[in-house]
Amino acid sequence: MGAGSMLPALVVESLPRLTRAIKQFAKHPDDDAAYALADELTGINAMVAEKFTNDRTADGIQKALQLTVGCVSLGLDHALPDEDDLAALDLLIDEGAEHAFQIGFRMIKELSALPEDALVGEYDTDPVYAARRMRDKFIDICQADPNQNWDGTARYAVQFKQRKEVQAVVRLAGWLRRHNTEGPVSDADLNAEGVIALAIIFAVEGGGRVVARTGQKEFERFVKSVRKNKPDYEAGWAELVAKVPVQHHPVLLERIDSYRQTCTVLQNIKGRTAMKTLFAELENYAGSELDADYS
Amino acid sequence: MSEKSNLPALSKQVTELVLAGSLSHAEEAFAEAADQFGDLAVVEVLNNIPPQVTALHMAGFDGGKMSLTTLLVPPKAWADSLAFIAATWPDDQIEDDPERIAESLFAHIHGVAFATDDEERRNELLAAASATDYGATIFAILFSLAPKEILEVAGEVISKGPYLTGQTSTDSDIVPVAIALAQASEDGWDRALFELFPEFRHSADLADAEYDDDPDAEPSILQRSTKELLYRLRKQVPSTRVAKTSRRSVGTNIFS
Repeated sequence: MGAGSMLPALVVESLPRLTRAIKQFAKHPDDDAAYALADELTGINAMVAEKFTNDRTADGIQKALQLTVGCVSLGLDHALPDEDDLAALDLLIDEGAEHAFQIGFRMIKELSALPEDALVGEYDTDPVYAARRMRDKFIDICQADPNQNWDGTARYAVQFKQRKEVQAVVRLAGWLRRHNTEGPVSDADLNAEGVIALAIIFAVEGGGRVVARTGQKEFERFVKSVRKNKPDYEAGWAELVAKVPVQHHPVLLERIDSYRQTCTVLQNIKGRTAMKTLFAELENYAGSELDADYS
Repeated sequence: MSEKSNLPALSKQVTELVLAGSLSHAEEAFAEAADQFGDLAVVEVLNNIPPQVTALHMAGFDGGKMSLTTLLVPPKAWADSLAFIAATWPDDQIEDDPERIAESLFAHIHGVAFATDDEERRNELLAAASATDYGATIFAILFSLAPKEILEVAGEVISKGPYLTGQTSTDSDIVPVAIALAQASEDGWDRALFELFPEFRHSADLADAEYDDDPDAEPSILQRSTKELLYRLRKQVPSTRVAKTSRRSVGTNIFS
């Protein structure tokens, strides 16, 4: 070490949980359990290589080993978030490495099934693409060199939180589409933010209508109606909120608040802005959720 | 090693000596036992020691040196020990010089099968040895040293049945073993052939197959190479470690 040891430790070692658990054997030797664990891990390694990498090359088996280490570690971290590494070793001995791997793998499946983006296309629901995304996510999170620091569990938590938020947006948009006053909208492509923007903008007119899809002609009628009747925006939004089920409220209220502050369409309706300009602004919010035809 | 086995002390002694690498001392113990109690004592011990120990011991005596076990090993014990014969082959040598390993394997098989002139014992040995998957692979390895001659023998076996003479275009050491195997076990002979020529499902098809001598020509029939078969045999070596866990693997359900 020499001079190096004079420096403060800036890097905290965070090896994969599986490595840390196995190191506990040094203090708590148990030959039979160690052999059994080695057998199980080897078996998992072989199955991962067969399914995800390449079980006919040394490189494929090496990659599968890293995925095995990461996925078992992810499962252990999830099952025992606040316990020490000896507890993790106990779980491996009592329940088996396959059990820990299964926990981790189910987490990956759950994460990859969540929407990554509020723009949902037909590829996002295609099973072939879904399987590929699952594999990519498995590699993204679980690739772990057993002797190097690994932050897969932390990255998993961040991504999971982000995707849960996106999922809430997509679900609200889905509800709005199904309850569109003019009849349910079915379209493989979904611009969830666009749907929500339309519903919030049109809600200011009042009357409790749900607008999830519309066109230029309807928008022109809406603008004329708002300019003539000068409705209370807040009352209209309250009617919309009352219609939407409570589990979607956090997203809806957050978006209403945002559009209340910044939505240029709502701000400019009150003035003398040209219809053409207003519609162009609406397109910025609603995008592909506007019907192309003038009807 | 069962508790009730006879000569437990001798079995234990031989096992320990072999595992410690003292083959000559183990052989001495065999010789003493044979002098003192007769050959059956050696047979009894060979029946009792673990097959991987038998394999280790016998592998040390192929070719020039002779072992009592070569003469006395019971067919079943020999067949079991063959499963472990690939365990000690160095990877480098499989890669660089597969023929040399195959030839020493041939020396071992030939040495045991032809150690005595007792035809009945030879048939029993070859039938037992070829009755397992790894046994079929072992004979396929030997045959891969002379594939052309083996195809000729295969043709003769089909046309002449048990009256085959073994006349082949060239003189190969492999042919007598192949003929002895075909006579000892029709099933074992077929399995070894199909291991070497995996595309065939019936040995009669092989009788019509032509072997092409030209090394540059596109091979007309699929044949596994010696090296490939050595790796196959290596993969078939069973694990001797006994798993202490009662937990059953869930298999690919780990992905569910």
